[in-house]
Amino acid sequence: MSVVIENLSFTYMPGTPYEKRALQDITLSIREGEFVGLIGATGSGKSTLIQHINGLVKLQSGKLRVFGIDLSARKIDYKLLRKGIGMLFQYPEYQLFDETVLRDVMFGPKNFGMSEAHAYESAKRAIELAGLSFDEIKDRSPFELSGGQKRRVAIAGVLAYNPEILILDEPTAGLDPVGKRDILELITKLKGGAIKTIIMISHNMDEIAAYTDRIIVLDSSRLVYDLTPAELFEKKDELPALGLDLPTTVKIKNLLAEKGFHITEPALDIASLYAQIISKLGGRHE
Amino acid sequence: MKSVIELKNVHYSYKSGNDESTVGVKNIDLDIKQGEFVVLLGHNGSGKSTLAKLFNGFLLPDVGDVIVNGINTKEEKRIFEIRSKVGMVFQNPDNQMVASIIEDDIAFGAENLGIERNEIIRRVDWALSAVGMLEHKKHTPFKLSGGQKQRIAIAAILAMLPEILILDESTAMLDPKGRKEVLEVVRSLNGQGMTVILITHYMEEAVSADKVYIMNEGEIIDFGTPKQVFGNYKAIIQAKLDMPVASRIAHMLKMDGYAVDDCLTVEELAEEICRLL
Repeated sequence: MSVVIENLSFTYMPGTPYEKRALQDITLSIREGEFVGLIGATGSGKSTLIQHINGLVKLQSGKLRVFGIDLSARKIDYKLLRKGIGMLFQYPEYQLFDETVLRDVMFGPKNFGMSEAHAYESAKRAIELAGLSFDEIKDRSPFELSGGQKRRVAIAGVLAYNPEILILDEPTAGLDPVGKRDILELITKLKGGAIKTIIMISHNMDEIAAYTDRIIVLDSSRLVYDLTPAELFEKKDELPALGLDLPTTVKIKNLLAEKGFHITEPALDIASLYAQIISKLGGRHE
Repeated sequence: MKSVIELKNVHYSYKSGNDESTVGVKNIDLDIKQGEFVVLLGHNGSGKSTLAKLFNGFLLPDVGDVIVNGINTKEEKRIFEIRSKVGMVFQNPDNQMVASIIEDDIAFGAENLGIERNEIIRRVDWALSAVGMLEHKKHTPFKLSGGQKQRIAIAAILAMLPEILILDESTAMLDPKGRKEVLEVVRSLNGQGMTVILITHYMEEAVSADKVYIMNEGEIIDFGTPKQVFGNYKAIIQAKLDMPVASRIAHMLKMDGYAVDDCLTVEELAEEICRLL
C-alpha cells in the first residue's frame, strides 16, 4: 500500500472564531501502481488532503501511513517521507529559480544529500525522462523556455530524486491543447516505468476520465465517492449537484441515449465513444 | 457597422540586444466591428497577447497602423483616449487587485481618469451590479473565489466605461464554475452592446463567438464563424490547436464516409448521429 488513511479529520484554526473544517472522517487507501484522480469543487478539501500525505500539515485525528511511515508517530522522518513524494504544485514553472536548467533540476537531489556527481547523473536522466534533450537544454535559463518546456523542467526537478509517488495539482492548467496532451502523455509514460503511483488533481473531467484508474471525489470536506471512472460518470444526476461536470464524451453518450441511440460500454475517451458509434451505425463506409 | 479596431498590414518584433529580434506578429489585417464577440485562438507563443497589446497602444507597430475608434495608436497625445476605451483583463486575478476593499479597487481606474467623485460612486455600484457582485462592495477581495475575483477585475475595468473589453486568458486559472461565471458576465455585457475580444485556450469558449481568428507563428492563418473555422481541419492542425470534441467526432464520421454536417456542440452532434440511423 502506498497510502493508507483512516478516519482522518482536520480543522483549520480550531477553537478560534475562524475555525473551519477541511476534512471529516476520510478513509481510503491507494495501492502501489494506481493512477488516482482527486476531484471536487474549490474548497472541498483536496489540497488539505494532499498536504497531509506530504506531511505539510500536522495530523489532528485519525491515522495516516505513507509507504510505511506512520504520520501519527511522535517522531517522523520527514526527509524520508518527502523524498518519496514528488509534489508538483499548480503552475510549477513559477517555482523554477536557478540560472540554468541543469542546476535547477539538480537542486532537489542535492538537497536530499546526493553527491554532486550523483545529482548530475540523476538530473540528466530526469531531464530526458521529461522528454527534453539534455545537451540542448541543460545550460539554458529556465526563464527563456516556452510554457510547455518550463513545465517539463519542473517535472524533471521532481523526478530527479526518484520519488515513489507523484502528486500533480492541475498539471495541464494554462497550457495550449498540444501542451496539455504532451504533458498527459508524459505522465502516462512515467507511470509505466519511473513512477509507481500517481495522484492527480484536476478540474478537467475529460482528462480525469481518460487517464485515471480510480477517482476520489470530495465534497465540503467529506469523501463522497471512491469509484472507477466508468462507475463514477454514470452518476449523471448526482455529479452536477457537487459542482462537477461530466466528461464531454459521456455527455454525448447520454444525449444519444435520450434520443434512443443506446451505447452500452463506458465512453471515457473519444476513441471508445467513436468505436461504439461506428459499430452501431454499421461500420465504416468506403 | 462601425469598425472599432482596424489593423492594416501590421508587423511587430521584440528587440533584444545586439540587433537581434523575434517576430511577435506579422502581416496582420483585421477589422473588428462594434458589438462583435471575437475570439483569438493560438498556441502558447503564437502572438495572441502581442496582438492584444497592439490593440490598446501598449505596443506600437513597426510597420502598418492600428486604428482604434478612428484614432491611430501612433498619435502619442491621444493614447490615454485609446486606453480609456480599451479595457484589458489578464490571467491572474490576484495580480490585478490594488486595494483591500472591493469598492476602492473598482474606483481606482476611474479615479485615475480624473472622474468626479459622485460619478465614481455611481459607476462603482453600476459596475458591481453588472458582474453580480454588488453585495460584496464593502468586503475584501482576497477571500473571494477565483471566479469572483476575476469578476471584480472585470468590474474595475467597466468602471472606466470602456467600449472594448479584452480578456487575455482570463479564465485559464479558474475552475469550471469560475469560468462559467466569468463567461456569463462577458456574454451579458456583449449582449448590451460591448465589443468583446476573448483570448483563450478553451476551444469550447469559441463556439458562441461571432468571429474566430486562428493565429500561428505571429500570423492570422484563418478566420471566420466558429463553424467555418472548426470545419477547416488543416488550419486547426497547423496551428497545433484542437477542435471541440463534437467537431472532432463529426469530422471523424465524415472521414469514414458518413454524410454529416459540421458540428460545434454536443447537442448538434447527437442530432446528426441520430439522423444517420
